[in-house]
Amino acid sequence: MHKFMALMKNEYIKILKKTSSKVFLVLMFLSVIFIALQTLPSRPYDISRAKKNTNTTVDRHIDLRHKLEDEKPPYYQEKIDLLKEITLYNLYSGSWQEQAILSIVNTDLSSEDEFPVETVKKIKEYITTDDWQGYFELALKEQKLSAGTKWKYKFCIEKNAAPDDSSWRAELINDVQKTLDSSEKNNDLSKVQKDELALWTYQLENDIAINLSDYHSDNFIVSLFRGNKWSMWMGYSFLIHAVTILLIIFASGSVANEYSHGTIKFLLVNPVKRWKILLSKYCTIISMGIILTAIVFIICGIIASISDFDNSLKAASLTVKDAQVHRSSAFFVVFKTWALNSLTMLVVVTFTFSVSSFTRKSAAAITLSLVFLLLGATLSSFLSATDSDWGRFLLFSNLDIQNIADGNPLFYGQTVEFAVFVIIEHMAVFLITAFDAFNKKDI
Amino acid sequence: MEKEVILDIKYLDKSYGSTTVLKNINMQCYAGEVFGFLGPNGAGKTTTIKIVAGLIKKDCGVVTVCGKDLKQDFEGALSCIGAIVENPEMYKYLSGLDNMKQYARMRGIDDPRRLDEVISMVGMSNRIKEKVSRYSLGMRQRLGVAQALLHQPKLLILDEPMNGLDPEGIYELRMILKRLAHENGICVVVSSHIMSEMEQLCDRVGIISGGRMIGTYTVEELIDQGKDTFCVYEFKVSDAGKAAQLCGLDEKHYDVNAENDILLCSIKSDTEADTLADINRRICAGGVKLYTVTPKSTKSLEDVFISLTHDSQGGGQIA
Repeated sequence: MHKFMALMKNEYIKILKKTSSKVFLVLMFLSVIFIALQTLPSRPYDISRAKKNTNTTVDRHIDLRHKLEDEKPPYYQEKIDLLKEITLYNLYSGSWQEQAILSIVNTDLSSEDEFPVETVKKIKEYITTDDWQGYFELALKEQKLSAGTKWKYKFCIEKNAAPDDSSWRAELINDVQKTLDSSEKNNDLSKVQKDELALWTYQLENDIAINLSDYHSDNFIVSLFRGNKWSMWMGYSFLIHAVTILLIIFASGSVANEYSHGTIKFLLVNPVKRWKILLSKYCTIISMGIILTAIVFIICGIIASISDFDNSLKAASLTVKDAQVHRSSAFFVVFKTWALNSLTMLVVVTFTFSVSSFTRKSAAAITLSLVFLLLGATLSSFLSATDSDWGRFLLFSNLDIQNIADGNPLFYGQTVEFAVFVIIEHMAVFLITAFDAFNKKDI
Repeated sequence: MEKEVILDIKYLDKSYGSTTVLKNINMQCYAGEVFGFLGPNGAGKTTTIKIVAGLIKKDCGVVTVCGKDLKQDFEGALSCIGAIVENPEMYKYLSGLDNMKQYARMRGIDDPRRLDEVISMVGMSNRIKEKVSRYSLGMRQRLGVAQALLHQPKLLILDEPMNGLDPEGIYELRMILKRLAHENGICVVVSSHIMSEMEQLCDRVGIISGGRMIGTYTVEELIDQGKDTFCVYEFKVSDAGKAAQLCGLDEKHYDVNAENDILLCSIKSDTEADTLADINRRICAGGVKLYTVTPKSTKSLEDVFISLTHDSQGGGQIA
């Protein structure tokens, strides 16, 4: 073991003491930092999906007024007066104030009932003092509310969460409210709705603004623009390619350069078995990949957290199954994304290593590996698009384990097990080729 | 005295495809001797050395180093060997010292004093921190020797180590190798086709030609073999034809050139000195002016080598 570490140390020295390696290393880190800073969002991303309706025109409730005037239900004049007040207060559509007034207007009062003058007076007072808590308590106590609204009012009071603000909560609160209302109407919810409801309630109750699992199947670039440190950190995982390219350069030379410089003779006259020498080279490349990826991971994490506009937002990865929410911590998910993205690096670099050992030409190893890296995924998509089902057996089609696990495979019915099998099988072929070629070659 | 066998090669065969490179090579090298491995280009010297150094797989045969079979105990056998094969190629972007440290790590040598020791032994102490790319061939050759000696091997294999060394370097290396063999009891195997060098360096030589071992001889044995051979002397005289009559040799043993001023004589090597003195006396006594006498070829390993290797292969073709 001690001897093996010595061999690896030799390999590290051989790679790192080269001037070209140093230049490439610096270039790699500079380009990573440059790209990371370049893709920073210039403003915080607005999480709410629909912009708030800021329509405050006078004739917003004209239809309602006409209806009241036509049908003339009991107390219609009072109701029309109230509708006019909305204009008076210049209230935004959908705001709690408007809802409060509409709740009176929309109540069907019979002629025996008394017009709730007291309530109206109180509501007007709450509106002028902007006291939503007061109104919500009043409404819960005295008014007949739909299930969704009741939940919303209770929730807002409990959590002391102001309704109608521009935060991520308002959006979700309204979604939950709508779903609850529709469940009251139809007495049932579809499976999807149940899952959604469970997810939203969980997010609201646990204060999780950003659900990272939303970004999985997205293009990674998209998550960069969400302006949250976790989502950006996850999005930066595409920068692993920089490490991959650097490692391809190192791996292509690690065996081939020994031949082209003639140093292979002096390497192999040492009392060390050939497979140990090759293994030490492979372990050096792989461990260097792990270290470099870890450094890039940390750099990206720092850049992402420095540039986060709203540090108070909590992120986690939530997945729902049978209305049960499963939560994974944000760091875990970011780490997992990076790890799964490194898988391509591992496979490509093993391939480079194998070609380098087999052909003893670093140029061949670099060229083939770059073709692999740049065209492999394209080839798989092409085969998938042209319904060439055999494409599922290609290595490239199985590298995106994340998407396969999420249920968006390139080819119908691909499973994670199958992908893992294909990857392991290819890796085995690469490594056996590399070791066999290195062991048997006469120098 | 029975000497310890360090390198034992038996029935060694090697072929590349249909070309047979080595055929039934047998040789033993002992502790405390410098063994010269001689042969013309393409005879299989380097192939044999590469097989012993573990760079090439043999087809069949047994190679034993210090009693350890090369195949069974590869690492054990190789840890007894220090070698330079062909040119001394180092990592050019590393310093000489960094290169040496690479070898030290691979061989499990932790003591930095040992590094200093071998470096000063080959006279590289002053330049060892420079990058190898700035070294001359001779300096790399010295570093190669230092590398081969680093782990105190019992068997030192040097493939044409004198290449690129200056005369002083050759002398120093010769002294180093002789000291290692005779004082430290190391078995030194040196391959070369520079005969005069081998003659001065080696205790024993093995001659290989066309992939076959012609034989192993001590240097004295070889020179003895040369006793039936003839040496050619060039006599510059005023009248070559007359001198030829006077010299008292057989007709087939002399030759006169067209200008009639040079007489070439083949003289039996075992009685060389006496015959030469006799011819000189006769020519002078006969009244022919004798200007110079120059040996055209001396009796040496070279003659024996050429006669031995020439027999086995047709017309000096590369085997």
